[in-house]
Amino acid sequence: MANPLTLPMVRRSLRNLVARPATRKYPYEIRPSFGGARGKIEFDVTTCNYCMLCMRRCPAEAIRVSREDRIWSIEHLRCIACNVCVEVCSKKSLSMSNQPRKPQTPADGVDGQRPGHEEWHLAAPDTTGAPCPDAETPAAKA
Amino acid sequence: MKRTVIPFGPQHPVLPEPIVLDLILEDERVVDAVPTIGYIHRGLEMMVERVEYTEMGFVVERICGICSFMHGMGYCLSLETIMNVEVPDRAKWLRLIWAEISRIQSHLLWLGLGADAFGFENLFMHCWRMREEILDIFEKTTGGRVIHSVNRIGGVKRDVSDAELAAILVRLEELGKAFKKTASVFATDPSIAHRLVGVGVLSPEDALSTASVGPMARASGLATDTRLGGANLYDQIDFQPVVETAGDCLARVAVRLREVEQSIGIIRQAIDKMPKGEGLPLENRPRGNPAGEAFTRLEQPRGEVVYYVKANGTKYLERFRARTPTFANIPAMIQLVKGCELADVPNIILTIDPCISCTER
Amino acid sequence: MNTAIYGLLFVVLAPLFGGLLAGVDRRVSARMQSRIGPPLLQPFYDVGKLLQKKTRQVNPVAGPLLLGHVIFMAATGALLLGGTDLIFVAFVFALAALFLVLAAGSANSPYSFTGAERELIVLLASEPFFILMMAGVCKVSGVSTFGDVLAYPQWVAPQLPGILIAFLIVATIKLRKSPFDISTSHHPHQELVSGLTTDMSGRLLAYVEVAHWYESAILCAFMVLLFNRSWPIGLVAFGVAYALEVLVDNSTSRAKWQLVLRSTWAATLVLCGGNVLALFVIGR
Repeated sequence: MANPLTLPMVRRSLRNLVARPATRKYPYEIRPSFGGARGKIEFDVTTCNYCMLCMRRCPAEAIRVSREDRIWSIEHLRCIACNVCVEVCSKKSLSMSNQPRKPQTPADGVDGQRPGHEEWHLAAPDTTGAPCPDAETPAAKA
Repeated sequence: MKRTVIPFGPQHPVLPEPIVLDLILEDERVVDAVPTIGYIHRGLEMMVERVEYTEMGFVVERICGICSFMHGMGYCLSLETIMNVEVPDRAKWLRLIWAEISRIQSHLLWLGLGADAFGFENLFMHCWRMREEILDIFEKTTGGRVIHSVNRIGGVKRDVSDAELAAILVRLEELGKAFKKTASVFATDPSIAHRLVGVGVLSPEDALSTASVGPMARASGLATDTRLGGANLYDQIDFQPVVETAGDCLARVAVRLREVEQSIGIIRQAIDKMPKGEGLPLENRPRGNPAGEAFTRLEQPRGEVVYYVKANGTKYLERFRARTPTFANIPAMIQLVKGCELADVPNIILTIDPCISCTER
Repeated sequence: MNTAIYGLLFVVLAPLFGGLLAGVDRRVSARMQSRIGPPLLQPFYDVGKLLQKKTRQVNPVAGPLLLGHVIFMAATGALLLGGTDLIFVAFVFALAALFLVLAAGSANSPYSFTGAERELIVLLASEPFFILMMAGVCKVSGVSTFGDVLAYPQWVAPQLPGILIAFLIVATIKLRKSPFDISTSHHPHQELVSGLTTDMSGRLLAYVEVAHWYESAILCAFMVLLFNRSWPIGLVAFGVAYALEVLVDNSTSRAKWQLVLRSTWAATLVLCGGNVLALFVIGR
């Protein structure tokens, strides 16, 4: 069966030598994400009614919601992108973006905060609220 | 003769996962092997007592990155049995298709690793390059490359449009054609034959007595395949288990080579037979908490997996256990390693397609 | 006087040549595997990084031994170009290789030790080859130094066909290419981890790399020696041989040591020994 003089891979190797390589120069060249890919959770604070269902259903305990302090926060490094919070949100405040988060190191955390921590709060109990000026920078709790 | 003990693992480049085999050598011949497992025990059976059963599915998926879809599916099937949920037809077919795609993915991954173990880097790259395309299909359809999170108790979360399924089939058939060329390299290359033919021969009797499962048993001539039982719609699929008779390392490679092509055929049949249309029901969400117990058997890429789930009417399960194929194949592996040469050990260990994460949970 | 300068030039320039060759090798290998591959200067970056790293020595004797490995590799080339007797050069070359085996054997790890044993097995076949090759060259040309052989007015290669073929096989061992890379591996995914170099880190691994660059340059010089009348032809011949090695490396799996021993001994004894024997029998 196996003739010791034939090496079937030689032809493949030579053909690959002139063909285009299959890899790309990551991170200089990034493949666009597929439409349905689960990248990261995005939160729209203007529609949230603080029902806390997302917090209760999150299997990774990544989401923290506090009705009293009017804070909605997510630990992206805990999040497993399972899409459950998006499925249960009745107000459609949560959505799944197909863009994955950029890699982070502990040095990327701001003001001693863990990297990947995102937090939104409302200034007063009855305003409609807005996200922090810089979503990655958690504002200090007043 | 002086005996040398070579600790194969817990960190060894042939296996990215920790297992220890103390190889007792006389010269370069292995006379005995003592396995030690338990390095990545994550205590899933304890965890199930404090994680709600609805959330446990995501944990079970993470038992192992290669069979992640099948693990999630097996867990959901068990709870569906306990809770008497009828899964919608289209969801069942989608599960079958995804399961077969993950079989292709797993085998390509393994063929690459196998090639790397006998020092054929180029072939490794070819297999993994093809696997990337399979992972792309997964990412497009389920949203994740490795952890898919589409299985829920009662069905699946995502639909794949008929047009997309047709496109996937076209892509898979193209890949299948390209794969035939790679497969012929495995079958005809003399330097591969030098490493694999006649190495680690498992006789049909030994395969039976050590209770081997999956491709390991099929390479030794046993036509065992859990899919033959007909559960999960496999009764509507026309297929024969891939059986080789030589029982050596090359036979185990050959079984997996042919199973890749077989899986593409199964996916073609499934896409043909599944109910078509948009907006068909995909999920039958159960109400209340489960009570009762269930066994589920599935044919994973590595062989038969058994799940046992016991629920007591609360939202926490009482017991969850997965008997994975690698665990069943370890006795046969130890038997094969005895008497072989040191250079053959990686090939023998790899041809059982070990998954230590699965084994230890 | 003049030749001593050549020797010094070798010591300085050979690592550049060897490193670049390794860079080209990695690029070409990558393309054969349909990858883009690393930058051309990656081997130099690697060694630079290794030199910065903290070195852990399993056995304190490994450091001096590996330093000896580099120095004797450099010395082999320097002596060769510096006009020393060719047979002597072959012995120094064998000594340099032996230092690596000793360093690997000094570590306590079974992988390293088995790697050292396997390296000895292949040295057993490859070192006699170089001595026989030198004997053949000296016999044909009647002179015994690099410069004199290059100045010899006739080609030596036509009378050494067996040695030329055996050179390809032995170069596979020396360049650590599949199927004969049993004692070590650039891609350490095998039964011996990375064999000889398993227990070397930091500065020590950098020594091994640099010594390997010298080794490639020495092999190139040997090829030039065989194509004595024109060094550009010798360089081209070495390029062709190296390309063949890369192609075979990417098209075969690693052989077991028994096959390696059999095939290299066949090369050394039958092809090379037969060739030299024929020279002596016919030449008289």
